[in-house]
Amino acid sequence: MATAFDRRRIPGPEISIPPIYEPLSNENEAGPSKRSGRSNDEARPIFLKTGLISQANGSGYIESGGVKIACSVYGPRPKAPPYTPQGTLNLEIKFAPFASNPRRAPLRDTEPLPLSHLLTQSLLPTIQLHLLPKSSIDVFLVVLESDTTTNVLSAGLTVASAAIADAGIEMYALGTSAVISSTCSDTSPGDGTGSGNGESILVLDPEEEEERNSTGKVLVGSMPALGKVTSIWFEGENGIDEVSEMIEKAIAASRDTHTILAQALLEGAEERGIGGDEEVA
Amino acid sequence: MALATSQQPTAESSTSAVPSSSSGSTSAEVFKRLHPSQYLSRFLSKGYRPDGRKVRAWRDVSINVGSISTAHGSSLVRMGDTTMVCGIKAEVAEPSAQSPNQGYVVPNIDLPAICSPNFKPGPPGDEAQTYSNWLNDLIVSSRTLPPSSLVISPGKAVWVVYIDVVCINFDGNAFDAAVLAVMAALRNVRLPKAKYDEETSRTICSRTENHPLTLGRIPLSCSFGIFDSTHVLPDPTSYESPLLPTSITIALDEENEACLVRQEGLGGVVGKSGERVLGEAWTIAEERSKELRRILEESAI
Repeated sequence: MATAFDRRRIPGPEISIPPIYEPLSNENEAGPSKRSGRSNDEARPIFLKTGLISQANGSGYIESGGVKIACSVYGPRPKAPPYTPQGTLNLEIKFAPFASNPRRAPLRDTEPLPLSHLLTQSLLPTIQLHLLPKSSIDVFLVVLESDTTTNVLSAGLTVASAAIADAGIEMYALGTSAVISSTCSDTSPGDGTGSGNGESILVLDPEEEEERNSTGKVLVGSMPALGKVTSIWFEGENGIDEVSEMIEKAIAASRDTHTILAQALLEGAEERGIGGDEEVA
Repeated sequence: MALATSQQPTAESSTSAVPSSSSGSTSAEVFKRLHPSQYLSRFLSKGYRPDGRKVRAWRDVSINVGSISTAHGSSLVRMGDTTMVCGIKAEVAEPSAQSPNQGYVVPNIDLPAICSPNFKPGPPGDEAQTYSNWLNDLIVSSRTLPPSSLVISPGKAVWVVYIDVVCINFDGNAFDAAVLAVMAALRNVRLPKAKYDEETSRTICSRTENHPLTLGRIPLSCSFGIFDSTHVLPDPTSYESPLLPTSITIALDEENEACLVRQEGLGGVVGKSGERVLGEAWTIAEERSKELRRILEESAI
C-alpha cells in the first residue's frame, strides 16, 4: 500500500473512507428525479468571467451547473529546444482535492491525465499555432467543484477558449461544447432492455442523476463561428440515427454557449479598457 | 526620480492591471522590470507602494464562505489580488493504536501552476511545502481544531479532517491569505452526526443532523517584509517579496496572544533595535488582526 511515502505533503492516515450515510427514509426521494425546473432542451445557466487571475496572461472562470473551473493561460512563452516550427500547447487539468465526491487524494487520482488529453485534442484545432514558432502556450485548469466528467470537459473547453482569447493568442474561432444524453422513457430503471422499444428522450446538459440513468451520452466540441466540429466523444449504446440527432442537438446547443462566451470576452475587454473606442481616453 | 513621480498617478488609479504590458508608459514598464529595487525605493520615498497604497497600508480583504457544495466547509479569500480557495472534507478512519482518542487534522497548501508564472505543474514545490508545514504547526500548536474533538468511537472510528488550500492567483503574502481561508472554512464546516455500529463495525452518518466543529483558538496571521533595512512593509505583493530580504510573520489569537512569531533573514532596520522593530510590527499586527477578525465574523451568515 505505502509504496512511496509522500514527503511533500502533510500526511494523513493510510486509509480513510468517505462518510457512509444512512439509507433514505422514504423511497420516493430515491426514484428518478425530475430535472430541476427546466425543459429537456434547456441548459443550466452559465457564469463566465475573464481576467480574474492577474498573474496570468489570460484567464477565465466558469460556473456551469455543478462545475466550477478556474483557468489561466501563460504564454506564448519561449520554449526550450528542440526547434519547433509550430507552437506547442501544454494543457493540464487539476482537481482540487475537495472538488468531488469522494475526495480526490493527491497522487492516487489518475483521472486528470486522460481528461487533459481529451481537452487538448478538442482545443488544438481552435488555435493558430503556426503563428507561434519556438513558443509554447501553457493552459492550466483547476477544478474547484465538479459533478460529472463530461460536464467538466464541456465547461473546461469553454473556459479554456475564453482564457486563450483573453490572453490575446490568435485563434481560428472560439471552441465551445455541449453534452447530450439519451434516456429511455417509460421503462423501469431495472429493466435494462429498454433501448429497443422505448422512446428515448434526449436531454441537454444532463445532471449527475440523469447521466447515470442514461443509455448514452455525447460530448461535442465545436467552433460555432466556423460551423466546424473539433471533437466528438460518445459513450454508451444508441442507434446511429439517434447518435446523429444527439450530435445535431449538441452543436445547436453549443451555439448558445458561444453567445455567452463572446459576451463574456467583450465585457472583459471593456473592463480593461480595450476594444470599445469610447473607452480609450 | 522623475520617472517615479510621473508613474505615480497612474499607479494610484490603476487597481489590478499592473502586470499587463498593454499600458502606454513603456519606459516605466521597462524600468520596473530592469531595476525593480530602485523602482520600489522611489515609490517608498514618496510614501507609496507600487500598487498605489500607502507604505503602511494593507490590501483589501474579502471572504466568501460555503460556495463549494462538494466540500463540508469552504471559503474563498481575496487579499488584494491574491486569491485562495479552501475546501474541507471529512472522512472516517480508524485511529492509530498509540492515540485511540485522537482524530486526524491534515492541512495542505497547494500553489499550483495556475496561480503564478513562477510555479511549475507537478507535486508541491518548496514554497508550498513550507507553507503547509507552517500551517500545520500553527493549527497543532494553537489547538485550533483539537484532534480529541474528532472522535466518533474511541479506538474504533474517528474523523479525518482534510484541509486543502488551493491558490488561484498568487500576488504575494500567500500565508496570511491561506490562514484566513482555513479559519473561515473551519467555521463553515458542518459534519454529519455519526454513529459507530459495533455489530457491523461501520460508521453511519445522519442525513439530517449535523454539527459545527469544536474550535479552539483562531489565529490570524500578519506578515511584513523589510526593504533596504529602512522600510517595514506590511502585506508584500509578489512583485515586492523578492526584494525583501527579511520577513516577519506574527499570528495572533482572539486575546492578542501570539500563536506564531517568525522572523526570517538577517537584518533589521537601521537605527532601531530588533526588539523595537518587532514591537512596532506587533502593534500593527494587533490592529490588523482585529480588522481581519471583524471581516471573518461578518463572513459567516
